[in-house]
Amino acid sequence: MLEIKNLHATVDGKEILRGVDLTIGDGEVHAIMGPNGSGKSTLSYVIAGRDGYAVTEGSITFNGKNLLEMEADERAGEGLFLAFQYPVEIPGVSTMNFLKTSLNAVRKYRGESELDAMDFLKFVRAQTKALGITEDMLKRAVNVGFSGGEKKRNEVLQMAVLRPTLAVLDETDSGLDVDALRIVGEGVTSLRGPDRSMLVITHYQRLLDYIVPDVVHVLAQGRIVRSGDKSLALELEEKGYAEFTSAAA
Amino acid sequence: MTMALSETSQVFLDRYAELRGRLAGADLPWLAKIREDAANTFRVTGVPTPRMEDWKYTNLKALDALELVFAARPAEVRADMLPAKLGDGPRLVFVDGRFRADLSDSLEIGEGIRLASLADLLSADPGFIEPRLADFGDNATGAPMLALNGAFQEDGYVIALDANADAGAAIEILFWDTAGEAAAVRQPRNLIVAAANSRAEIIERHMGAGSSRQFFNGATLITLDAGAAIGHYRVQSQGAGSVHVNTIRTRIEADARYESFILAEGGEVARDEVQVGLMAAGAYARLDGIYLADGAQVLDSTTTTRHAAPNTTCQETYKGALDGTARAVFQGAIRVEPGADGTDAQMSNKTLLLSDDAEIDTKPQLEIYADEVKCAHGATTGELDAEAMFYLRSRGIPEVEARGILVEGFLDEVTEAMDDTPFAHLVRGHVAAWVGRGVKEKEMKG
Repeated sequence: MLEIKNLHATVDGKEILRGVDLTIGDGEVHAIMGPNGSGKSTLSYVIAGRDGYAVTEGSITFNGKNLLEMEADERAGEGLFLAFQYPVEIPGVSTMNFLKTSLNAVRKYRGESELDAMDFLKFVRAQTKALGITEDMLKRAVNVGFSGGEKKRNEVLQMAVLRPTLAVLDETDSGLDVDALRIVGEGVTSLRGPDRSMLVITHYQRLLDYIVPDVVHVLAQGRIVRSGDKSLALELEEKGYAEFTSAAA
Repeated sequence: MTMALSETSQVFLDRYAELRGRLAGADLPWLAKIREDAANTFRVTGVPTPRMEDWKYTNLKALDALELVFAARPAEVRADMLPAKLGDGPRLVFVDGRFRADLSDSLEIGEGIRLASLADLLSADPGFIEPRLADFGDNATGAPMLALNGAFQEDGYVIALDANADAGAAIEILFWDTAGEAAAVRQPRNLIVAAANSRAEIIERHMGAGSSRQFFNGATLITLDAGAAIGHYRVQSQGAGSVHVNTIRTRIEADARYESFILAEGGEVARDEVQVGLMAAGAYARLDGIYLADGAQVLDSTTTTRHAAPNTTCQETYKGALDGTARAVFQGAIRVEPGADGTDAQMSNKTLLLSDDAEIDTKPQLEIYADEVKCAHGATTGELDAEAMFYLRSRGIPEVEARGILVEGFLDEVTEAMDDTPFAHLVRGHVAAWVGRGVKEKEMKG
């Protein structure tokens, strides 16, 4: 599914990623944990194709294709999805319209027919129920005036609508209370499947109670310094990241 | 004061001298005098130059490059060549500045409502027209384009509503230009006369076939008596090589409401100017606009609001998007006269610059001579939000579409205030077509 080899990336000339190696197989859920400033968000942006990040070395291969040659929208078309840590507000654009435009853009890219308004409405309604997203929310402008929980639920809704093969969840638990965390966690888990892999980026272990990972990695100083099973997350929760930050320095 | 007139200004005066005896209603002495006075006013300054304060940012020198054609040339236009009617209401069609009864539709819409052409009324009912044209103020110094229109005035639309008359479905006015090698000169003069408690919605469309080029210099005088309500909605999408100047003067009496909307996207240089006088307590005006410019276009929105009585209100929102090397001008003058306490004036102008070379010149101008006044004005200029662009693109939306979505979202503040009317659909359609123009080009190339 995803193969990252010796990835080096800089922001404003400063090297943030210093040789990341990561392989995610079909249907696998990997978690990346690490201290602040370790390069977690940079890794998610480089995978998603955000401007301003320069890859100086290494490669990312996604389902056999060179991801780094593609624009962000093409990556989405290929089946990649990034759930934002801070979802962006877009005034004047209704959530419904945004979802429909997005879905149809992706369908068009994949050579599928576009959905008309009626079919789309039916399709979306089926997804919103479990996430506790109301019709009213769909009519409001994208993320404008949404609470922290609503914004993250909206991210999960987009993921449900776009049906990616690889979802990267960037600090999806940040800013959520316990109830919202549960709804979001269960929402994501319900989307797990043999053809859908996930990369869950998080600082804390608590999200992994809901989205149970197959593999846990520790990212520190721009490199993956340790990998293990889900028990590694619990260990980190207990001991913190001190050993990695001091060892790497 | 002596000032050397430009060559173009002299051409106008020469053509006036030549044509004045042949204009519609030339045999009416009062009309001949209005024209003559207007020509003399125009002679003082000629076509405005950037040395005039009101024209500092908008230069009409593009006119010098146009080959101007004054004679009306009969155009072969059939109804099926025109854009479809917008709704169920009546439609008045002007082709190349001339009223075409044969292409117009359902003009008899009820008791107390008169829809006609100025040229027709000049022969059929000059007594009705005389006091209204005489009132226009063509000779006000500082308004040379209005004076130029005054010298050549002979046709245009007339909408007159008796007291309590309700026009119902929107009245559509279509100014349709046919294509030609040279630039045809069109100077319609329109009248909207709304007696007490009457109401109407008027949709004015300025457009042309293919590569039509025009020098359009229109003028509209509007009077709203007490309690009247007029919606005056315009779309200006004239041919790319056109020069377009439109001046609207509106007098609003007690508790009357005037709502103006302009969507400007056409022409090489274009100016839409609205001057409103809020003459008695409770008078209300709403002036909204959208401008969309690309290439080397210059689009000017100028408004002048005079609060001449207590408790009058004016709300103004103009927004636009500029691409290429396009430039927009927004001039908003608010004058609150002594004694006009309780004035509420809100003015906002926001522009989205889509390229590094696009430019907006915005000039609010407030003169306040009353004490208890609520006056607010604001102007902002911004670029597309890079975060929002990435968000949309990460959801599979290609760059050009993503830009379009953000532009439409930006303009939504103006369009969402409009009810679900045929005009609202028209405006949204124009906005969507404008933001989508890049997609079409890309697909054609691809």
